[in-house]
Amino acid sequence: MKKNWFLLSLLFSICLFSCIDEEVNEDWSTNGMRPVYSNADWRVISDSEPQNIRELGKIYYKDGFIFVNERGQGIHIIDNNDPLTPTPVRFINIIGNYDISIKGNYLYADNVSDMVVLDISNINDIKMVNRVEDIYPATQQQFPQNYNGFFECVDPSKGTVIYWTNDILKNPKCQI
Amino acid sequence: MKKWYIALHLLALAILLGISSCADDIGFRSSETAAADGGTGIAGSYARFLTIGDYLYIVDIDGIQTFSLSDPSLPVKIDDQTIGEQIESIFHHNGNLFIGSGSGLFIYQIQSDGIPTKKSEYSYDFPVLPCDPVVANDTYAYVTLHTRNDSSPCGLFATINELRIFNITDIENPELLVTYPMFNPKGVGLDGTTLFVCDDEDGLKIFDAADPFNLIQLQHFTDIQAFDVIPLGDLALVVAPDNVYQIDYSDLADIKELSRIPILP
Repeated sequence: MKKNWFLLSLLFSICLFSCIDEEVNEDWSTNGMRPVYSNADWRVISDSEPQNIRELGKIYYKDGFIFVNERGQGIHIIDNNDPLTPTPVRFINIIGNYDISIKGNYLYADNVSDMVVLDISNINDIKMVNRVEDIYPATQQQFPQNYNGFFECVDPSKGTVIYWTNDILKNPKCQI
Repeated sequence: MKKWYIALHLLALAILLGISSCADDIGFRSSETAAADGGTGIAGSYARFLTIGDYLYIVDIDGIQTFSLSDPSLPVKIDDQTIGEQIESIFHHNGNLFIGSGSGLFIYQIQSDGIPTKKSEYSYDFPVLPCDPVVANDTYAYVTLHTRNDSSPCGLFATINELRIFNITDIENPELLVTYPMFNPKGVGLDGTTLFVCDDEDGLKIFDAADPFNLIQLQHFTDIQAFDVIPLGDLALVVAPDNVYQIDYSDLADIKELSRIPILP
């Protein structure tokens, strides 16, 4: 275990070190992670008409409904009472969302560094009833989670990082 | 002396009652999920949020938080503890939490106050850092380890792609029983003795796992680039980059695709 910690702290030191601007003599490219930003107020939760699934995340099932996470963006609600014809019914916009769980009529979801509680008793009228602040450190805003390699340094002036995507990076200056 | 004796018995009884009522709340089998009981739903094997009875468990990068849901509209944090590095997933079976991480398999037991206590840790040979969801029943835990995908954090230092089966009869001493080579295994699901392995480019594999030493492949969907799975009793939801597939496994001799929800690029 101690060894692990040592190595991890070493990795982080390397990250910090490599985040410092260096002179790059010639352009080069590599695979890595790029932050995708949103300028919307990440604390605003809203629902809308069903949308296409594009960035598939995790799924959750309860009482005939499938909840499909759109990575970093929210939750598709799909009526699966007839599994032959699954029907999208609603999309909930939640910036920085990856995980959900449900108890009774309440849905718990991460929203960047907070957790929000939604009342889903009426699928067509979903309401936020509570917010628990700072359940996570907002490290997602600094570097991609559970990842080792190059990434594009975060520029907070571009907005909130809603998710990280795999891309070809030109002259990446950050690495973990 | 006598008072102590009675007190001890009362305490033991209270603990037993606590455990059994806890188990009632959370003794959740996938085949019962269709029942609309106002309870909790069911997540895939990559879940990091888990509601069990009156508690919500959240794993983050290095630890686990417990929230009380006595008032389900207002979660209250009651515990926060460090587990280890690169925590990736949490699975629940019969009062035990199985936590997958890049450094090993952790087993925690939920106490009567809802707070998990560490029972064991099975560390992988460092340095591997694989990614590894886990599912379990009373006897066995099934862990997938994969390191193939270049864009993932997995396999920083070594390559390992396999299914590992542990004997967890004694949760304080999980014992590695057998290892099966896989291509790039990700999510894993279990319904009774039916085991689902999402082996990415090598497809969705469904096994009869009654004998851990002799897995029998029941079906292999080579075209489904499976990432994660939720077995629901007769129906399995399978996540892949192009679709959410629904697989009918009510007849294990004739497992077939039922429908799909498309994902647009």
